[in-house]
Amino acid sequence: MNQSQLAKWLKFIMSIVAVLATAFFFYMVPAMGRDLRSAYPEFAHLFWPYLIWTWVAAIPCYLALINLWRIYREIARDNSFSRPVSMALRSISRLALFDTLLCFVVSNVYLFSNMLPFQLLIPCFFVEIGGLAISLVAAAVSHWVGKGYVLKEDNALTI
Amino acid sequence: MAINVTLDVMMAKKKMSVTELSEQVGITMANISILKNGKARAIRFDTLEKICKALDCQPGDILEYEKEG
Repeated sequence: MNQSQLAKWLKFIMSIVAVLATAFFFYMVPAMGRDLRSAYPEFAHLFWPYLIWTWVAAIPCYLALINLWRIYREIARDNSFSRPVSMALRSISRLALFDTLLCFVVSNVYLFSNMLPFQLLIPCFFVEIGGLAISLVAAAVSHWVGKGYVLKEDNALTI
Repeated sequence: MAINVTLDVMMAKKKMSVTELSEQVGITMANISILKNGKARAIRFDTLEKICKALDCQPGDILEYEKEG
């Protein structure tokens, strides 16, 4: 599989992920929330706070997908070790860190406001661990790609 | 950079064009231009040797050190 084909496949898979994410954030979560609101009217006041939290958390996910698209575009141009790829990875790292901090802060605020059952902290913890792992890996890969770009430039400018 | 490439001066002295030099040295005209314009980060000894052979000169004739500041 050459660079162009690989990039096409990655873009195709990413498009599916984007569609699934849209279905999750804007259809499944509100639908689940409405079902829970109907089943447990005593928790109806939690509907909007949780929905807003989900939507705010979705923004970095979509921004990360845009950055991934930029990376795949550079792969298609056979320009994997380049400054735009390094910058896109750094951006993904920061977005993952933002979502991790958001999850940590909001879950704790909701917990101390009696809006979050203690058991729900466990999935929040997994989200935070996952987000932190993505952030660390993306930061490291961004650094390597940046170093690779410098080496590539040095090699190209060595006559 | 403190090292200046004065290849264009030597080429003018020897009345040699970029095309001729690139053919004799065996590197592309684009790379000769990079060297001439001072955009090169490094030069291999074998390239330097070929350029000196083609222009019948010494490395010091095409490279000069300029004190910074």
